[in-house]
Amino acid sequence: MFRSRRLVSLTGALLVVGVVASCGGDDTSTPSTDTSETTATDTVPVAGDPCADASGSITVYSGRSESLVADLYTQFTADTGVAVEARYGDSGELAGQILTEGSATPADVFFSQDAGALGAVSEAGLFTTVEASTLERVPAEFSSTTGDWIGASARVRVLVYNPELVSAPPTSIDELLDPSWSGRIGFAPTNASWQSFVTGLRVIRGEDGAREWLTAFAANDPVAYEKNGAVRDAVNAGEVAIGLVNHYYLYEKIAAEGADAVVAENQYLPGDVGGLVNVAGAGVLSNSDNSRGAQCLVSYLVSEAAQTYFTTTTFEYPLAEGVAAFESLPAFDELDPPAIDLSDLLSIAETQELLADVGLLTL
Amino acid sequence: MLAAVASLAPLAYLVDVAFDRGANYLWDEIWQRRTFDLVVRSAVLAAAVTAASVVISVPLAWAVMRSDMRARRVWRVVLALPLAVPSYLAAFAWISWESSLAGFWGAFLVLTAVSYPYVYLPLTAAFARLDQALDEIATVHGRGSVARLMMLSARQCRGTLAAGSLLVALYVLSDFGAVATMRYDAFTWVIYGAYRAGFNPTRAAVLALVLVLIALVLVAAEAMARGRAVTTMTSRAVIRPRPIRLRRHAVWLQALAVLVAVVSLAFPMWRIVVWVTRFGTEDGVGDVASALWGSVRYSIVAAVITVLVALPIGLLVARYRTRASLLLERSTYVTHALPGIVVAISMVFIGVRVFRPVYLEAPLLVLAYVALFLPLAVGGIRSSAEQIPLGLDDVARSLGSPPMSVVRRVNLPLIAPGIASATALVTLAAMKELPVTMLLRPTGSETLATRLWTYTTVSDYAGAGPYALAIIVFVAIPTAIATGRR
Amino acid sequence: MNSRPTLSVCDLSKKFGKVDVLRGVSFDAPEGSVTAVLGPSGQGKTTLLRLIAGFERVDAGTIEIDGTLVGSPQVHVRPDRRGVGIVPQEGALFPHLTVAGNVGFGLPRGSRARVDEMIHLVGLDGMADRRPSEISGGQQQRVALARALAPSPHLVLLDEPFSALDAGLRAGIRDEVIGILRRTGTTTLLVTHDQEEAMSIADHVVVLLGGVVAQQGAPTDIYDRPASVDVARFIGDANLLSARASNGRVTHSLGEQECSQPDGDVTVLVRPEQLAIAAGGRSGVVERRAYYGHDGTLGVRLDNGELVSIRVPVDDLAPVGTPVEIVMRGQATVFSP
Repeated sequence: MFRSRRLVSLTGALLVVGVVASCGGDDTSTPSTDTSETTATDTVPVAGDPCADASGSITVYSGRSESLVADLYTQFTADTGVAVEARYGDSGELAGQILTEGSATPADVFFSQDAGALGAVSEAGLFTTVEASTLERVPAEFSSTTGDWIGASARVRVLVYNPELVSAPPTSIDELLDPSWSGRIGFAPTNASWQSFVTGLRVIRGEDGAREWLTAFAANDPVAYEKNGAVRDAVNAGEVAIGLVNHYYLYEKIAAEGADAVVAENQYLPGDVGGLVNVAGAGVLSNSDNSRGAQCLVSYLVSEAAQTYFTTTTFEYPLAEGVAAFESLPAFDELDPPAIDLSDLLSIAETQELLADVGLLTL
Repeated sequence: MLAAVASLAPLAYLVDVAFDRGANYLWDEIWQRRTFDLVVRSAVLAAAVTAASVVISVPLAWAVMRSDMRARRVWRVVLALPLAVPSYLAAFAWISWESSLAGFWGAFLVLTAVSYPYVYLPLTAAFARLDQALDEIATVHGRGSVARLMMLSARQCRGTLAAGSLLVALYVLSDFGAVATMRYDAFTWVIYGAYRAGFNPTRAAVLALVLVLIALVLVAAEAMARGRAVTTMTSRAVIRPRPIRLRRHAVWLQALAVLVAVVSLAFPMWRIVVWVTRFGTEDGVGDVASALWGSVRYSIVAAVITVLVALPIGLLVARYRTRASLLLERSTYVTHALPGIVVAISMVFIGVRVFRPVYLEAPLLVLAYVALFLPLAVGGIRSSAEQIPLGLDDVARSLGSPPMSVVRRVNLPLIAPGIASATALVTLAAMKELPVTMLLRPTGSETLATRLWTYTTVSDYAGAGPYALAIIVFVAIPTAIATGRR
Repeated sequence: MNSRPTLSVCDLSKKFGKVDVLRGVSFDAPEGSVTAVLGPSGQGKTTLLRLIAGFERVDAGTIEIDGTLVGSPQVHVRPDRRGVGIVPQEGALFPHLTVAGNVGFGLPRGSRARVDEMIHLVGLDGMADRRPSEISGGQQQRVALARALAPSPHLVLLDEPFSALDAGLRAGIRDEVIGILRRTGTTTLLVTHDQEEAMSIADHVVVLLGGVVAQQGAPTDIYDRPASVDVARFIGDANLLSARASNGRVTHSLGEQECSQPDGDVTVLVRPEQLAIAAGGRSGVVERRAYYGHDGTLGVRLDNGELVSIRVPVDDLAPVGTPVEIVMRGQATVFSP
């Protein structure tokens, strides 16, 4: 089985270049180096509507849960005529499945809950480039640097605090190391977002810097909860004064119980490592046997319809330009997250080992 | 022969991947401090659970079979039921109630609660066959205290005890759900972690190989213990023993039985009922029904095929103890040492390359179940075939029946109950099974186990409730019927 | 006697691994006769039966049934094609079939008449629909016989068929079964370790000791003229006395007679029923006493120290310690040592 496929490079907005991707080849993620082997038989994709000639059926490995995205897939099929067969699962597990399957994977699209899992598949060279017209809808820093996966929605790490207990919330996670916070901080050690944050900390401050912060954090007796929602509830109830969570948990509670029931507030951390932005995103598998359909779905995820859907159902930030975020959120460009290649968030295993080492994770 | 090959394929994959980066790398991985720690952690858990299972099972099995314990017939069945509770369900029930249970003690509690029946069940059978004269002699010689009688009986059945203990140890080593939910860093959980993070398939394979080697040693030991157990129990006299009066010992034995039943059965059931009544259901009846349909369909098809494959093997081994038939049987027992998570990952690798047309389709999932549960079915059919007197075959032959006709007219009708119970066992095991189902279920379909797992990983009680309830009902009730009939 | 025997076994040998189980066994079973293979346990009886039925292969020698070679090192006719009926030790009825189902197992479908005939033959009318577990041991044995006879086999093999029955029932069932076999003119081979059973029902007895035929013949020949001390010891009670032969005569503790043995040590066999308590005989003292109801035996220590067993009427059962005198009737059998 050998087929060639046209890939769209990022080197120019409308410049189309092609590379030959072979089965199991590792050259698919370096489109800028190879501009000569253009095959004439393929139709040249243009930066127009990726769904123009999409049809048939695609298999999606969906790290986003069925309850969240099943309706979106149904709508997609209704809009484009491309049928979706979804395999739901944990993002990391589905990434592991794709890596074990290798180039023979039956997946056409991998829609992941976080960037790390996308980075793993990207590193193994199993993604093809997302079409330029899709990529350009999203700021470059929230997609793969090589353009082989795209961010669809974003969440930011915040401090959720109880104003009755905290008058001046910290503006940096380093302030949490102050002994005055001892025993008053809640966190969710097994939660994937927390672990992504620690991975970001490792990437930004290096292994030693991260260990130093975590050791001091552990010495401040933080209170462990099973998940982010429990941290938020504990803060709201005054069990702990402050918690490390994602931004949207607060808005979920307000939406569910009404603004009167919620005293807790979010403290955003612009310019601080604690204000890491992570994304959910998707990529097209290079050996997809329906790459038109796959590209169509990925472009659909950053369409106005889908972006609005994420905004209103999850309170996440939309990444496509021209779609407004949930009204209570601070403007996305004021978040000023730490500069980081999100693909680097893949080293979760090392993060877990470090957490276990400093005593923040029971293994 | 095909069955044996299918059982051994995962092993070949492991060896292949483990040597991917060369023998030196393999060697370094094995002799690492963290690998050693892992072996120790897994071994400690297996040893602790095994010891606790023996401590629980000996007095309870003795009390329900040999004493005048109240309601002992009911207890006999009730105490076997935890076998039907999936380990991840029990673990989730406990950790959702008290999150500080995470780690060793939680894993220990849950695994003991769901795996002690592997000692308890064979022990009740052995005690039933134990000669009453022993008790009488012991009583005459003044060794009549209940504790001593218990010890004496247990010593008589030490072959059975050893075989059952090894099964428990094997179960602990290969369990995925409980250690995953309790986040105890045992082999299977670390292997899954290496797979999940996905950066080091070689390490996953190396660890899996080490685990398989340890398990193989246990399987071999179990086979030896079972061999001895059979010879010690061929006593023909089945005198119905007169129940021994417990007197003051009745209190603690009853208390122990109640405690075990509460921890392993009542508590998880209570939690499920709480979830369902307090949170209601998130998913509609349709979702639950379709997951149930998935579970039932795959597991029944798998059970029928497994039993069809196991039938000739079990019959051959029971009727003709040739070297070839024993080898065939042993090779299926190797799979016994392959934990579900290892089989699952191997099947992803092999499946996508060799069985591409059926990869992530029902046939591959069924094939994986067959490989996983073949030993279970072979064991069941073999033991029921062994009960047919050999003379019957001879008589049938002399009356003009060719060999195949003897199988059809004599052997099959006589092992029909064995076939039925093997089918039921495999069906139940497949319905409970998690890792293989999780990785190989057909895209777009769900089973009770995968749904439950999805919700438990995010601690979503409302979502988990109805699936937990369905799994308990559809696994525990047939188990109760099956054990009650025994 | 018929010129062609139904079963003819010639120079038959069988090894299991390195162990010789049977060596050079030869005998014939004439048509319609009852032949007993008699021997203690573990002397090859069951192996012989399994070879004849076809469950084992022949190492050396031949087996012919009705003049057809069915077993030799080159030829092996499968058990289902030999036309040999077997009645195993404990009946071995098929537990999942009714009495009628068992009896009809070897018959083509729809042979209800033959099944009824067989059930009637063994006297179990009205029990056709019972399960094996619902009838007594003796009845089970009769069903097993009916099942073996139903396909009209050339030969019926009975493997210790009565040993599992209660002593009280055994003789009755035995007579009944042998009666049926004789009535139907079935050639029968009975394997047993019970010499009384073999002697009482067989026309022809083959004594199998250590895998070889130690003696064969009519029951009276074997009892009265055993071919060896071993046979004598195995068949019935025996007083074996040591003595010396000299010039064609032998003198022993109980008498004196002619013999054909050369001079030297010999063993003399005297059956307990050849002896009686009577005045003028050899004197001794009663040392043991056993009462059987119809008669009894005494163990008498002779003056020369030898202990002999005597079968006596009940009136002669003297108490232990009584001095008695013993006389011998008829001739003793003399063996070279």
